[in-house]
Amino acid sequence: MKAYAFDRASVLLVDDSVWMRVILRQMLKSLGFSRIQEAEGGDAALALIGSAPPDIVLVDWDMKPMDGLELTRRIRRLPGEARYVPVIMVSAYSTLGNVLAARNAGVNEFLVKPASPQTMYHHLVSVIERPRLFIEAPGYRGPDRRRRGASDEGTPRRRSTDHQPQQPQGPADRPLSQSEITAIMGGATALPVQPMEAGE
Amino acid sequence: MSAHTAPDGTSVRIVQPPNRLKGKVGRGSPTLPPTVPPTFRALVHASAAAYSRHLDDQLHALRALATGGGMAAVETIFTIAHQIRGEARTFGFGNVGSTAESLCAFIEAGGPGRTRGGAVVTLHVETMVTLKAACDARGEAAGAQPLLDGLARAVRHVLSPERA
Repeated sequence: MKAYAFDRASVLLVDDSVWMRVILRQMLKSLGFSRIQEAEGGDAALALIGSAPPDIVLVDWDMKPMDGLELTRRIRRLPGEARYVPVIMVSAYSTLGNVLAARNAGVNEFLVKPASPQTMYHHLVSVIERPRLFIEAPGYRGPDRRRRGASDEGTPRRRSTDHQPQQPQGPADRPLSQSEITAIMGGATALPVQPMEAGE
Repeated sequence: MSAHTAPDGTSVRIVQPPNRLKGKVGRGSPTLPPTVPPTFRALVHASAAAYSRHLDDQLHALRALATGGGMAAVETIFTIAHQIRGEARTFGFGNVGSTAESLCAFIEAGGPGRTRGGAVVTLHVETMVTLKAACDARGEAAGAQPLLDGLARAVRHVLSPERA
């Protein structure tokens, strides 16, 4: 099958670790990307997005003074189409609480470090082939979290009038596998029973 | 675009954003092209020597912090270990990365504040130094597992002494 023409798309890497940027840059190059911009922090990233919006943003969680969650929230509040840009968070903080925080900040996908070309490709295919509606509500701006392909019929409503918004149930402290995280990011309200191991 | 107003008066807009990305990259395989992993390994290999020197500097800093920094140094130790955890494996230092992961988990569990917690932090750092030197001399070795198992026992001994 034909390969994606990644050389036509632009990516912004945001990470304060120069070596993590090296890893991600080489990973993107091996996939065929050539238009790769880098930023050490949130302010520089917002300036780059403001001047030339990229097609994808890869964001580290743990940055100072602006962390990846805050950067994502600010991106989602930008004027114009820049706020819709797919944001993939790359982080080793992979507990349920962390993943939910990323989801609630408006992240599209969550990639667990150490990242591999396989998992990166999987997330890129997801944002290319399964784009989500964009929700603009008083408490949330970002991708629609309703389960992909599911209808609203007979499912819990996630509206401001709901009494108990559903949150995924599961152990709070242990790191989740990539497949569990993908399920949570896709709107699951419970963790898979038999998660696949990281690196699938 | 559609807009909805909830009974409490709050407004929700649901937008179908343009899929600029799809428009640019077109169609592709759902699975990773087989040429990508070897290309990635070759690109990373070209930077491995420089990363190895950087890792030596990080381990040197960790050693200084672990031996003389006290509890005030724990946050900095975690930050460095967290970076090693995310980066080392990709450059061929998987055992060092696994040890850094264990150290991060130990710090997150409050280990440094427990009895002999400082010693376990130092043990992690010295293990990383040893594994890094072994990797430099002989390449990444599978024989490191007993060392990592011993480290896990030390962690359990501090965090759950009743079960160790």
